[in-house]
Amino acid sequence: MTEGLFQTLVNTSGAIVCAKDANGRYVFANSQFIKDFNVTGKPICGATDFDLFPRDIAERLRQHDEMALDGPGTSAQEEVIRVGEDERSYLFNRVPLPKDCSDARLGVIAFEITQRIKAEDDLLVSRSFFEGILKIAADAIISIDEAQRIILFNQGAERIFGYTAEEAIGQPLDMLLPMGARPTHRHQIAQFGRTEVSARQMGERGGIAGRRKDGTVFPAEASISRMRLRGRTTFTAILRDVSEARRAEDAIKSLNADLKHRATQLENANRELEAFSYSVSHDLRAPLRSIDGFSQMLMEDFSADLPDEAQDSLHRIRAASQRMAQLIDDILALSRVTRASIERREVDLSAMVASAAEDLHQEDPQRKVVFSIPEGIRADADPHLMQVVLNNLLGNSWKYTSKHDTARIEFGRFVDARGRTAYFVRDDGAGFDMAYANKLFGAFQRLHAMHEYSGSGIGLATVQRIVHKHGGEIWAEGAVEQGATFYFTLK
Amino acid sequence: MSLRPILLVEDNPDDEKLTLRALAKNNIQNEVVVARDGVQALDYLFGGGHAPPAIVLLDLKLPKVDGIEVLRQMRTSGPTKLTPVVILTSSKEDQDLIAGYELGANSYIRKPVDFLQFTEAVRQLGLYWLILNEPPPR
Repeated sequence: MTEGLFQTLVNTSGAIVCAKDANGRYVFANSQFIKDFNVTGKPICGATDFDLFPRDIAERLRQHDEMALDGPGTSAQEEVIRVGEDERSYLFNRVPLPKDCSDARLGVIAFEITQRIKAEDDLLVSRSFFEGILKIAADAIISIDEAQRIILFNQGAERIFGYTAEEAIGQPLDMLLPMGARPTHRHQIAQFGRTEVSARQMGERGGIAGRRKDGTVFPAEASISRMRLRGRTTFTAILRDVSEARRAEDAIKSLNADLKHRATQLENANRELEAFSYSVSHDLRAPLRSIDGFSQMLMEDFSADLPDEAQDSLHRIRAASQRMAQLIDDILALSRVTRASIERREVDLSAMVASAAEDLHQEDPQRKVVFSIPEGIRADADPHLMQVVLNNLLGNSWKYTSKHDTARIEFGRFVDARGRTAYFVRDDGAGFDMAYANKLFGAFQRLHAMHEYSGSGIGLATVQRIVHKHGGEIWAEGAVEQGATFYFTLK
Repeated sequence: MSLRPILLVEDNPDDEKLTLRALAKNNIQNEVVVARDGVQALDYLFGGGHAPPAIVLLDLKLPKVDGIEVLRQMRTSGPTKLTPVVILTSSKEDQDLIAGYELGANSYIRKPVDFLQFTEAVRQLGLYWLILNEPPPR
């Protein structure tokens, strides 16, 4: 081979080629050396690495050169060479040269491998990134090969199925499936492998199930994807244990069903109550009419034969039957209030109070009662029910002032300590003992004997129910013989 | 001219007796025909060739055919279309009141428990429907 041909080959090989003498002085460097290490303009032959490279690099190169000179043959070494700001990696192949005609003792052939190392680094980063994802994923991530053997089994899969990756990898996928599902599943995956789709949700109709190491079967949701890599097909399933979600769903379903059942029961109860009320209003009154009517007939037809005591008894029978009739009516009114729906609109409470007061005056014109009713007190409430409230409260005041020669009944509005608007009806009548204030609003609770003041004991219970239906509160203040005040709020 | 009868439709014998007494006490001279259920009432009105009564006192809750149905059939038939009907019942439930008036009842009276009030109510309705009111021509 001629030297010219040798030079051409060395310079066009793309490799860095150089040779040094025993003292590390260059005796030869090809054009790639000069180009890569940017040493144009400097005489290379006779120079050492300390003349061409920064000190730390030169020292390292020298050290490696000496090791190669002592070595038995070719040695490969990765070197980092800094050229200006640029750091590049090279693979240096060093070979000790035989002592013949030349001074050259060490031959070096080097290739730049910066790109390859970077690619390797990137691959490493990317691999640890995906491994990290596999590791932290709560879902099971499982890959299988074409033979449906497990080739990937992440920590999520270990947690969910109870197998370690070691136990699972290499095993058939079947071991993760309930016995019954194995044949169809195997078939479905094979079929999926032949379709054009590359990913889909599994078990779209009715969900799928998994089987743990301990044999328990659990409901799961999963998606499967297919990957073709260098002619080999793998399937990867991402699977989630939905036992908890399914349990919660079932609980909600059962609660809903329960709620529906109760609503139906309530509806039935309401309908029954309505039928009951109707029956009460119709059927309970008929015997009372007979008792009252025939007592009256006795008194009319046989008054001459009846002693006073007998007549008195008949009077009492009649009074009692009429009281019971009133009681029935009041209970019905109370139950009607309970069933009634509220239709709110702006109502003029002042006008309602005035009309109730007028009715009371007309019933008993002899009485000297002064009403104080400020005009223009309005509220957002059900008009019919509010009239019931005000009639009851005014009626009570009227009744419990009846033993006084004169009386004063006041209606008004104020804002209480909690900032709520409260309405009140106040009188200066018989009042009540605050010790019994909690009994005022109970049905059939009375604080006065029947011979003192008549009444069914249902009026205030009705009033309270209406106020509560409006989201309000009701309370009372009073003292014996010093009058009573009833307050209520409306939401 | 002979007085047209009153048709009392009432299944409760006590109420029947009390009503008859209240009518008598108020000197109402008309003959009173009593039907004790809805079928008897319809038979009298449509079956027997009787002239329409001066007034029908109609209870609502009746055996066999209820009062509302009796009223409905009366109002769809020529001879009884205009006969005054007073519903005389225990109920004052809205649904009964509405049904009664919608079918063309002329009055709706809830029987009071107090017999004196009941007598007074019968007196007023007798006075109004049998004396003051001009009935439709026969």
